[in-house]
Amino acid sequence: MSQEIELVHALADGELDAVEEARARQLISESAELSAEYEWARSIKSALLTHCKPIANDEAWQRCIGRLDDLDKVKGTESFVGKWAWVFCGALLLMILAGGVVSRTFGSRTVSNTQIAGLLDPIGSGTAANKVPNVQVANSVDLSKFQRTSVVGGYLENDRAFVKYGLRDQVGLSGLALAIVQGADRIEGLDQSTSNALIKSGKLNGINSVTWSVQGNTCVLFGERPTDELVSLAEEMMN
Amino acid sequence: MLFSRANSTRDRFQRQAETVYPSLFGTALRLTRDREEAEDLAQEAIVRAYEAYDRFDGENFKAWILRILTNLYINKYRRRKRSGHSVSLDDDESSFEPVGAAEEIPDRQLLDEMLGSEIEEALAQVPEIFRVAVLLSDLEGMSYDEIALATEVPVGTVRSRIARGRTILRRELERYALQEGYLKQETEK
Repeated sequence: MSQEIELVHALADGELDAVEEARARQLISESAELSAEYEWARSIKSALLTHCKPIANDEAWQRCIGRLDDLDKVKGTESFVGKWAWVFCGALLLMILAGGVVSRTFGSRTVSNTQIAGLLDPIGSGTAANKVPNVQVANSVDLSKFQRTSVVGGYLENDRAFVKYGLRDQVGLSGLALAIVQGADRIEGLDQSTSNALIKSGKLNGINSVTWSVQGNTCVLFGERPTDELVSLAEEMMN
Repeated sequence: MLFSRANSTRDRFQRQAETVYPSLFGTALRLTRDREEAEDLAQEAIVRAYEAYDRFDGENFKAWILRILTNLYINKYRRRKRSGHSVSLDDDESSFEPVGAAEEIPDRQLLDEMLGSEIEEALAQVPEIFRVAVLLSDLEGMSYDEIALATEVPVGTVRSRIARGRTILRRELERYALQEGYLKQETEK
């Protein structure tokens, strides 16, 4: 019976093909119960349509619009960022690269230990040039207590001028050298504090070295001496 | 260019959604029987539809968004329903009780005399899986195929649920008519 009832309701909904519709209509004509069911189905469809109307709710609709606005804002931001992300990343990368190049080439006042490696032989000539560059600061370093055994000058890789003096101390011991590098304020690898706050120490290629700044340039004193002694000698030169 | 196209899509969607919103909210309210839940359900359906608007085939916006709403309701809200208002799927397959005699069935005149709120109340008593089918068919005019798609069941099940839903609704209306005196008045006529 249930299949017949379903058929009758589907007929009321206009959901049957021709064959099923013919069968449903035959059932209705033969059965008062099914005929009543068919009428009922049509009546309730009509009654529901008449009585159960769509329900307006302006406040709820306005809240929906608010949600859509929020979605649009998020979408807009995501779209903008997504579209230009490669530009932002590229620009950032270029800025980093350019900053690095500028810093390395023009801006850095740090001398790398590889640049200064050629000067490390206390008595050697290093990267000597035929003509000693005019390093003004050399006059600001007091070498009166030392005997100059040699003087060489030249340019580091980034065209920074330097002058190097081979020195003998008051006792007559050699094996000391003072290099003055123009336009630098730090030597890479010489960062350890000493008893003098202005003097930093460290080792360059295993050789004890101390460094300090004079008028924006850097002096490096190195030799086969203990660090404390180098600091004392440096202090004498600073006076 | 990008933004003008986006705005145009938004405008088109909003116009269509505003037209169907009363139906959407009405269906949500008749499904959930709770105004706040219905507002949430309808709003969620609007948001989901907007997000998926580029996949809308452009044919029947109302059926499409009702399908979204029904799916949302089935997947999300039904779990929160009180157990007393739910029926198991086994009930769906049970056979119909014998149909009452023709003279016992409330006729169209009786239904016309009943108030909308009374019919709404009777409809609310129909278990939800049947109520969904009746609502989508009789109130929203969706075809059996569209209802099958929305509720993710075969068309044969939709046909069965609609017939059974209306039968239960008839019983509720009869009970209500007797209780309120409509049927007695009708008999006295």
